[in-house]
Amino acid sequence: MNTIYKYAILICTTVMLFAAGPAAKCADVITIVKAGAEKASIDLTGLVTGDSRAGAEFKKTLEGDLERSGWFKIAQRGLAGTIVSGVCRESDTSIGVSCAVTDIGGKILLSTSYSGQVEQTRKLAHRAADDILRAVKGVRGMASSRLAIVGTGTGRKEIYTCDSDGKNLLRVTDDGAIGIMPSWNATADGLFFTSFRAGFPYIYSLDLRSSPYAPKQITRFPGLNASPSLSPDGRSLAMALSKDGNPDIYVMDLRSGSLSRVTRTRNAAEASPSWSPDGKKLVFTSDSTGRPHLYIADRNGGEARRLTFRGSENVAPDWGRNGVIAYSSLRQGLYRICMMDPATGEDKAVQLTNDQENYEDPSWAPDGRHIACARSAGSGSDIYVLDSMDGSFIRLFNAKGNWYSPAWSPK
Amino acid sequence: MTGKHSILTAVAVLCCASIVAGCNSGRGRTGDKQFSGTSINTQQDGDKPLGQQPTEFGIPVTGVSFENVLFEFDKASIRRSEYAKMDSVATYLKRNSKTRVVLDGYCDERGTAEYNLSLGERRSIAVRDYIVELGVMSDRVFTRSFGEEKPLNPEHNEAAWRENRRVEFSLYR
Repeated sequence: MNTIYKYAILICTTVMLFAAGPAAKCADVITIVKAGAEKASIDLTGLVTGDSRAGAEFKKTLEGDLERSGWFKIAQRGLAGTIVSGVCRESDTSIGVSCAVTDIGGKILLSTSYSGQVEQTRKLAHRAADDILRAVKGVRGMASSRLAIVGTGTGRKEIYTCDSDGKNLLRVTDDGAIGIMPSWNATADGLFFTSFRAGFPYIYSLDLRSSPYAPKQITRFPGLNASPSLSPDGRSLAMALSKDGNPDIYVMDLRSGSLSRVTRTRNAAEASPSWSPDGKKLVFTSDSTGRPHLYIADRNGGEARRLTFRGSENVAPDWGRNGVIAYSSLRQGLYRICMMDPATGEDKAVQLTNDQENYEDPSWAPDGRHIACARSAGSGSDIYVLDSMDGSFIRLFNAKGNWYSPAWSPK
Repeated sequence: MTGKHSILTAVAVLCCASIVAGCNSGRGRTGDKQFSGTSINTQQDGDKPLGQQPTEFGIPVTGVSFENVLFEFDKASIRRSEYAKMDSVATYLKRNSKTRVVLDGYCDERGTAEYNLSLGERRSIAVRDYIVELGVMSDRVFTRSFGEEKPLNPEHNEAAWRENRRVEFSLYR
């Protein structure tokens, strides 16, 4: 294994030296950002739950969300700059929470209430966490968002969803075949994915609100149908197809079903398209130089600009709405999560993981701060959440089976 | 794709790349592969479109099996040692004109699943292109990629990876 990677790195370095010209430099700069924004201390002791079990669950969930957001640390009474006060009331089947958030000077930053069925307690707490974050820090949170994941709990790869705190893990496909590459629709209540349920890999969509399980087939082209990725306006689906004799990137208009071809690279494989925030460009993987690297092309095709030269592979890009592309880079024989602003390029790219494990398939959270990815150790694989501002990471959940390809919902 | 010079392709790409970069023109041509330092030509033609696969393939042919075509890491070019395997499949298909073949492309476990699915498809297509070139009608040859799913050897070492980078032949009548 080592020899292969040494060989690969040697080749890559050679290509960079001779082919890339001034655009690439051989010295790999490894940077881990440690200087995150200052965490605000927040005091939740004034949120009274009495003997309400749902209230206690609300408070515990809220506390976990605020800590996980990366913007807060939970403080003891009287030692915080931000104070949450309020009351949780529980009746037979419902919960109501009224709360206020004030700063140390007593200025009210947020005054609101939440109510719903007891089963919705966690959901209400997630909403409160996002509201508090917006009121105090003026930024968007991720607490109410969800993730779609590939899991092997049944012995086969199926698609699952869970909440942003790793709870509420549910299997949403029932194909008994290989289901992979989930991605979200614009309203975050449905998925696109690739499944072998009909023998060949086709793209399907699934409405998560409907039951029983009834996926809708989106493509049935000869050969490969994979890597679905929805445009920001929700109208077009980028994908990898091989119907014309080679795996290339295409864009399908979802209303008319018409296809336009983005790449036309003979004898090269393209994969993993992801849209720019304005929906005008796509970043994707292509091995047209012999090893997979990242390229950017106009959504209507034309010449593609090569984005990465460092590492022996750069794959699985996710172009966040913050404008930054997260990707997986094979460096020193291990897949590392990196992020790059395409405007400033690879020289300013940041490498987020630097230990002895492989981190793959990054996906931005809607807060533009956190990145979900798959971490493999030995033959096992789990989902981890990285904080791109302070470099810390946590395991999303602990469940039987292997877990891959996280896709974070857009809201 | 003819692929017969594939062993030298990597070397050729490197040499050509350095020459091209030296001329500062940004693009060169090596065999059937476009290479460029900072961009790729996305407007090449010459691929042969795939035929639509039928819903039912018919009855699996038993009693006949062919050796898997093996590949190098991250490559879909056919090695010299593998042509005889495809020759025997083509010969069989020409003698049994009602038989159809599904070419299943696989990768080893390294790399991301998405790229590997495309790479496996390219391996299937490389085998298809050669078999069709030998005179088998393209409407009898179907490609399918499983990427890194379904490894033949579940171990995590070089020997297993070598076995797993393959195209398998499944015959139907």
